[in-house]
Amino acid sequence: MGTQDLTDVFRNYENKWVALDDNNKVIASAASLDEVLKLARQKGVIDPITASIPDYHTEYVL
Amino acid sequence: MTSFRYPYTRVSRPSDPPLLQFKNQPLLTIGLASNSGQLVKILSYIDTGSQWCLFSNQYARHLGIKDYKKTNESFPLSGIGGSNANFAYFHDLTLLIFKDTKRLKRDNAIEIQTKIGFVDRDFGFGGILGVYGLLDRFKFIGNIPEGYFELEKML
Repeated sequence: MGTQDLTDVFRNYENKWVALDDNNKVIASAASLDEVLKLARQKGVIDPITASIPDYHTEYVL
Repeated sequence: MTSFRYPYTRVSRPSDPPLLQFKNQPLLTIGLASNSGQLVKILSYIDTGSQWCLFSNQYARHLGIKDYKKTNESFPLSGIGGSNANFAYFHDLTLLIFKDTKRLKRDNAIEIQTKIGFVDRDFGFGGILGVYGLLDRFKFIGNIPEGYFELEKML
């Protein structure tokens, strides 16, 4: 098993909420979780993966 | 021991300075479920330094929690962002650890009844996965050179 590449998600959706399908393809993006879930469900995806994409240049030193 | 393997998430930007060109992040899609059956799936960051599993307060409403601040268990958080930089409010929920990334369904998940914290200030990603509820139940084994990490279920 190798890494999964989410470069496009991070590059194109920084500081946004996204809904992803099970293959990590972006279904919808919005400024809030409520809005992104609503958009995904309008497209027929009831339980998408959700995430708030941070600024790409934010480093986590957790 | 049963273990589950997941890919590290790589993010690349070759135009950036070398130190920033590549990231390998321990991201894991988990589920949170309420007693009444509401479910959200969240791309989360495994943080071995966090004592708790903490999520954006925006998820609370989607789990039937009208006011995330209404709880008897709330604590200030300190960390790299400073002392008392955030506040977490804990609720009883079910954490779902999917056994693989191919089928993110409840019948393919390990269910953990635990306390989940919702925070005042979001910190990027949907949430972070820490010790209480996750890393006190699973061993985290990272293998960055081969691009994966494992969660090994403890008895």
